[in-house]
Amino acid sequence: MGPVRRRRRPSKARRVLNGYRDASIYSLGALFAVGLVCGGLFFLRPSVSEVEHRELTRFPSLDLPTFLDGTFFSNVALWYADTYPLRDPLVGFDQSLQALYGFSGEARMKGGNVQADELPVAGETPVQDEGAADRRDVEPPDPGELQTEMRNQIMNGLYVEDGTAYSLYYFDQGATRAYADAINEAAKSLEGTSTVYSILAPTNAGVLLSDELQSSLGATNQEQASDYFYSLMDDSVKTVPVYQPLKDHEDEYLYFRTDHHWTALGAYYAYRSFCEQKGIEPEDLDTFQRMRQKGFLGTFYSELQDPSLASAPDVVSAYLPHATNEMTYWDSSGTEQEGNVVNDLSGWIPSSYYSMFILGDQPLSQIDNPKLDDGSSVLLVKDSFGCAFAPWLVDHYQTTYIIDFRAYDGSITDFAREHDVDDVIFLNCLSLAGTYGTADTIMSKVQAASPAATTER
Amino acid sequence: MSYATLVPSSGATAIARVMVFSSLIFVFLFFPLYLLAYRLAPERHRNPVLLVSSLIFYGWGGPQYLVLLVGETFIAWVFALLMGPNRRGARPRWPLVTACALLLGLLAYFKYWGWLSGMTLALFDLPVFLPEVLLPIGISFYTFQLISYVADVWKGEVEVQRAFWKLLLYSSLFYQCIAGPIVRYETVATEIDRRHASRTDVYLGLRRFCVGLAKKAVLANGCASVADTLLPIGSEALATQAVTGYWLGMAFYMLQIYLDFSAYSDMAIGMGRMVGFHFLENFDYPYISRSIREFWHRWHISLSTFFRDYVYFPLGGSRCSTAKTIRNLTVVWLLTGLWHGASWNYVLWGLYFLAFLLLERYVLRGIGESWAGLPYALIVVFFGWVLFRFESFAELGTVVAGLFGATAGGFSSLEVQTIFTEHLFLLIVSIVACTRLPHRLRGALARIGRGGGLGVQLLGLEEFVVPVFTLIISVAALAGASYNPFIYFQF
Repeated sequence: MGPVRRRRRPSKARRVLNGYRDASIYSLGALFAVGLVCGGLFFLRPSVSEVEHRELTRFPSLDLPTFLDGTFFSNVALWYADTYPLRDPLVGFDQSLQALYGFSGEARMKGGNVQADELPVAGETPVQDEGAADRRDVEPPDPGELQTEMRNQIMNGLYVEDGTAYSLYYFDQGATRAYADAINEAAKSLEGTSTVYSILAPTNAGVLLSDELQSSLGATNQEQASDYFYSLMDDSVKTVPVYQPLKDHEDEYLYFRTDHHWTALGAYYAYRSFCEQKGIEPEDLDTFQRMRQKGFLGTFYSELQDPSLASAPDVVSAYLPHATNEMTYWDSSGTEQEGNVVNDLSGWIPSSYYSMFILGDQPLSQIDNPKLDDGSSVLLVKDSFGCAFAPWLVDHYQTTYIIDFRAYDGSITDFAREHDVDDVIFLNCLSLAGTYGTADTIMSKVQAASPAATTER
Repeated sequence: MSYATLVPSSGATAIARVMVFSSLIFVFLFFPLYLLAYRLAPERHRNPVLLVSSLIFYGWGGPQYLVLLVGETFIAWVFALLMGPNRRGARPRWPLVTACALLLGLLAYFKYWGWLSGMTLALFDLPVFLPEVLLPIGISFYTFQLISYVADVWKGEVEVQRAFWKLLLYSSLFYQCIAGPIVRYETVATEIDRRHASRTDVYLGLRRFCVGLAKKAVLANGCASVADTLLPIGSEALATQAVTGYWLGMAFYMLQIYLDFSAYSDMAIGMGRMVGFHFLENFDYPYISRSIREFWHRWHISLSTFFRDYVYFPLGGSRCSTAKTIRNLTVVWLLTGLWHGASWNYVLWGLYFLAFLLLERYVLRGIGESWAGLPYALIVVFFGWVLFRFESFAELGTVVAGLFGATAGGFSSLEVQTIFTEHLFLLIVSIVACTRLPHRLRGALARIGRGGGLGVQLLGLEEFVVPVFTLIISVAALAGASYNPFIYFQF
């Protein structure tokens, strides 16, 4: 099989060739040896990957069934590769290698092979929606499934252009109906106790990309979709228009380029619209003290690892409420903690900078305004879009409660009643609101006779 | 209602876990330790080292499956011994029949029971015993190896192996035990006891291993990720792909399946060569074939020659009436289809090739010599892989319709264009890797090198760089991918 035929006495050419081949054999031997030794340096094995935001695989525990069926060994193999000491540089090398697989055009698309349902005209019941299933008894997904569903919803369909990633939205008729039903259920349950508001935040694609482009990519127009969502809600739900206020300021820094959230400024325009709906006067932007964190590379960057995003990182600006920056929150273990409404995250890893706002998604938070004693209170029920929104509420109520509906175990409506909350605001990203996971989870926590256990915090 | 929706997946798709060659733990732990032990061991201890390494390797996928491997080997060993010493012409038939029945029975139970009982359940509504049978890894390969052993002993073509552990070494040898090639006992019979690895053997073996590893870890896995993105099995998105997406996805799948499987053979052949085993080639550039007949002479050669020698020829081959020839071919292709998996689409896949082979035999006689043979064979094989990929007939129908334009996804999409441009060079390199071009380039370099001088330096540099470079990029690619099973393990 060798390219050069054997001869009785090795020629000079043959000797040269053999020299190179020997060098190759020894180099390979050295590589295998380095790899072997390196793998044996247990104390160098990391337990967390900062690049990937995850805990690395732990060494599996041994028991007879997993030993016999091979699960134990395959987990050892997974652990070995996942925590290999040279893994990070190797992964980095692999990424530069993958960049050579082809070339990137000016605009690119990741995922998005989704068939959006046709958007009905607001107020009209589409044929397939008649007699839509009552989902009150549907078991909501567990938190892990819900997270996966939400991640897919945001990340499946990313359009990238000029160093910015845009999350496209695909309308789902049934899930939209289910979400509206859940909000209506909350309003019914809280009738006479609290006023229920609904705020739907469009994704950046909806506000910043042209209608033509979105439609050519098979995505749904988010203005019409918001209108449709709101049209399905009962009159007792006060709906807050957000799309147009944002569109009016589309040249401003409303959304991050490398992360799927809106900025504090984007949330500010939604807050102004909320004030208009409630009939109160919004605070002027110039009056706030600002905190900034540079070098933010968010979820879009984690997902895409696109160098064009890395070349222009985001800046997270947060505005400190006038009244107070103190916050009490209960973490996922239920422990009471002290924090700030706007937090200085210097020293944190840059991908986490969105947690400047109310320290990210905590199950329950409470902010007491020392400058008011009128007993007014608000409960913000939110996904992560609510984080940038929450600080704007603080100056208007004596007490601001914030519940992340995914992490909070108890009944949301019971909480509102027990704390005599005036206003309950449901704030969701439009795209996330349009999933069964969100709708069913909210529904399970707002029903009049709530199946969810009440947790007294 | 299609059978596919009724077939329980336990038989065909629940596969035992295994240590794959393309994993960091193999490349940087098992393999160096094994090489070290083998090199340091005195010659008489090398076979035991090899056997122990193989059993550890196989046991890694679950020690319980070792019982089956050892048990099947025991069956083959005992019944081969019962065939008596090589007295000419007086060899009893019953040990051969019993051994084959037992080995095939075990294969049928572990590989096809779930599928068969699913069918009886569907057809007769019989509540049958449905065991949770996991498909033991490599069972299709080592069962066939052992059958070839007993058959060849019976035919008097090889000496009976009296040492059980040596037969176990043959059946469990980790180079080829779990994904082929199906090495005949006669190929290695003498090399088990006497083998020599020259420096050239060591170099060429290592080189073959590294190139194979890169073929798998870089090219095949790269193609797989594109194919899976565009044609996700079991997802609604499969139905809404654009026409160009179906074609591009299947093209990448076609490349993946060859690169993946042939890479495994490359690594097996290379590891054998390093220590002095000379396995036969398993692939010979199948995608440059000009007919389906030629394709099957070039694709998974150890399987097609197995069916030729142990099924087709014993049935009479083509030296009989046309009707019998067609019958013989039908049997072979039904079995070939079934060997690939316990599902109707594999049966269909086998019959699909049978149809084209008959067409070539009786109608399109000259196609193999014509220029049109190449595109013809490529297209037939392309659609063959469509049948192969989708076990669900519903999905199969969706994809075939999509390839011909019947899809809600339109003709093309920005996603497909993005995937195409971002993987264009991967596509080109993968296509080149399916041709003789790399081999020819090396040959040309060797001719230049024969003249000495700068030429030999250039050749030497190539000989130095290729294995080292392919190993480095493979390791990087393996570190980059955490989940990485061989797709051919199903069989």
